[in-house]
Amino acid sequence: MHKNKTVIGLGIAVIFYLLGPFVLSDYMLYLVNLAAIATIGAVGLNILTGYTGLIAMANGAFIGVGAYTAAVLYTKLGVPFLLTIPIAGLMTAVIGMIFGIPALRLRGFYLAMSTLAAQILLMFIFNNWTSVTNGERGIFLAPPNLFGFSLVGDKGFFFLTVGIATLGMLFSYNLFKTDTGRAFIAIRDRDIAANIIGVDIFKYKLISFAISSFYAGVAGALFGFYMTYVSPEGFGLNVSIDYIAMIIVGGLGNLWGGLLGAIFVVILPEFVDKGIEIVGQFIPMEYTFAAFRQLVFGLMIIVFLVWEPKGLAEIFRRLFCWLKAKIFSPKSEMEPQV
Amino acid sequence: MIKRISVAVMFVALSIFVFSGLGLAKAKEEIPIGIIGVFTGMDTDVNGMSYGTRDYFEWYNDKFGGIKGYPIKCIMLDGKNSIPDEVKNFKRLVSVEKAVVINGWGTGGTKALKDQVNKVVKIPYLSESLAIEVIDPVNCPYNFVLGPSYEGQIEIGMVWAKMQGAKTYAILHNDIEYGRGTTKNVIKAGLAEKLGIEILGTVEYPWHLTDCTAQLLRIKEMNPDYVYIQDSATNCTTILRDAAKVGFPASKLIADCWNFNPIIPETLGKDAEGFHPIMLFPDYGSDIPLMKEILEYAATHKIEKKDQNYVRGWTEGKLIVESIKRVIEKSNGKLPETAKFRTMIRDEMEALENFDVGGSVPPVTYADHQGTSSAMIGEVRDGKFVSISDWIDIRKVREELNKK
Repeated sequence: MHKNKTVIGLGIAVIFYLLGPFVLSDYMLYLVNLAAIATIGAVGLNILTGYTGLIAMANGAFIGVGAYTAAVLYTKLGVPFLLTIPIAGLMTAVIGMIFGIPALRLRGFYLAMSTLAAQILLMFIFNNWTSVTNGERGIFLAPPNLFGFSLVGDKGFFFLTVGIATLGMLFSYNLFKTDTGRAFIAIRDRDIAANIIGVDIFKYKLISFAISSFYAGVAGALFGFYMTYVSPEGFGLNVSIDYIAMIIVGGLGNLWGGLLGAIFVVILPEFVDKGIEIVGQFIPMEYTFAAFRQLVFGLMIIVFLVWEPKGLAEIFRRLFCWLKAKIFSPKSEMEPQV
Repeated sequence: MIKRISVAVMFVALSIFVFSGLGLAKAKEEIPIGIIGVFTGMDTDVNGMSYGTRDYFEWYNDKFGGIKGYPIKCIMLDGKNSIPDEVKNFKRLVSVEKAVVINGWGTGGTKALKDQVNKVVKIPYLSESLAIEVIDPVNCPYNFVLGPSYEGQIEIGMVWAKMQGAKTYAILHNDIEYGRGTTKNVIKAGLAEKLGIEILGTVEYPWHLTDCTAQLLRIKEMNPDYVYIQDSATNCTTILRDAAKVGFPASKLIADCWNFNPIIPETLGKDAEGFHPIMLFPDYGSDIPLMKEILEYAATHKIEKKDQNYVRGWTEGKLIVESIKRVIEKSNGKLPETAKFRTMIRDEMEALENFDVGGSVPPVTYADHQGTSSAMIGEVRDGKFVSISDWIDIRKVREELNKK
């Protein structure tokens, strides 16, 4: 039974993956692509914050490092598109490790402040290292080619972003079956105890920063190519805060948390907008009510923090359990056939 | 169980229906036009541009029953001055709403959409950004702006200073590309030398400016006849505050078009008196023919922002409508198919020549995709902005100087 359900689930996912680009509008594809890119960054941040217990306020800037690395490699050095993505991830991992060094001595609020400094420092570099980053004018990226197929539109990127996001989730899923993943969780739950049982705290904290930053770098590279333009304004503190919101809403320390949080943060504003538009047809609503969207967004975060700290992942888990009990319970199976 | 599954399926179908935009009934034979504005976050102080364009369409629909009988359907979205949001809005406007022309917003979004606008979708995109990178009729045939670039504005400031008898000039700018890059471009172009003005120096300050005393003391030591501030209203307010502190008169300070902003005199009071922003458009309430249309609309509707940005938006609305009108005339009163319609609008926009918009800018010729290279100089008098110069056309000035 369980195997059958897995096969059905996988089948639906494969059908969505193969047919999605041909049935969804460009607008819907754009949202899916953005959600997929955000998923990569959020899953990475969840490894650091949700599983290792290290707060980071620099995810936006790390995504920027990935985007700039890919842009410079592609436009100035002519590195093939597919190679730029892992290199951007590796470069960001190195930068992430450097800024992760203070994590050895800092925790909680103090670590958050030190990573916030990293965000500010990196933004300064994006703005002012003009010979490389082109400053505020940014870098244009020509749409990349993949095996002779131009990734100029949303359809081509769908396969890439959704594919890489799936790989990222699979890696994360398997990571916590390894010693490294378990060391992260031990550090999060009680670092002193972890140290006593032989976990090298410094090493694993740095590895966690490296993996998380690698994800951010890959997300940044994809974001840069997808937007075909990289400039500092895309990687500000607001982006870092969005990512923290994603993992809080999605579920800290839960594999599905990154995915659900990313979808929530990308899709919710669209639902609110649509709601306002539909209501606006009957009740005149000026655009001053646009702030309503921000209000809903802020309220949802507060609601999750207060009533469901385990996030959407926990809500969905309970929902599935309830559906499973209702649909597949022995009682319903024994109902007489009519 | 069947009932539950049916309810679930209906819920999913309804969500897709609403979410994909199909839920909004689309009236036949309308002309969909998109506006990407900013209604939350930074830059909302200048969003009168979007309201102006939207209100022009509404006024036109009310007065003329649409363009040649086809009502304009205006879809105004919030781009939040963020690149992903502007791109998202663009995708919705072109793929769901089937917009035939878009009134876009910021520099970042405009640059990010360069390929989409010019190569993929091919849709006329009249943005509020004055970034020089997209003012290129050859490589960006679908991008349009309205007004001189930031570089052109610095030069207009110089020309006006020269008219006042100035011999020396200095430039105060922020340390990001908006300030630093623009200033470099102007110095490289060498217009100051041709005008016979000596640039005594350029002084840089941090983008997140909290105090400009040290930089202003350096400027004071240089003692230029005029100083140009290459920055927008937030930093300029700090500079004007500190200029008063160090005793440098506001009347010697000129700044770019974003400083023609009521926030400056309202915040600074007498410290702003005499300050000169560049005026690309006259203020709301100015004595120009275009204002009569606005006042006609205002008699029955609420005006969200009564400022020069609103006048700018109204002007842009006129340019869009005129181009569409010409397309419909050429198509024997019928609406062409979307892709062709977009291209034809672009062609008609580009073909606009000496088109009188009603005095908000000099007659527009859009062959250069910039429409006008003219601006006026303003001044703060008794807490209000007044224009103190005629239009200065920087392109003409350059051409005349090059002839010599």
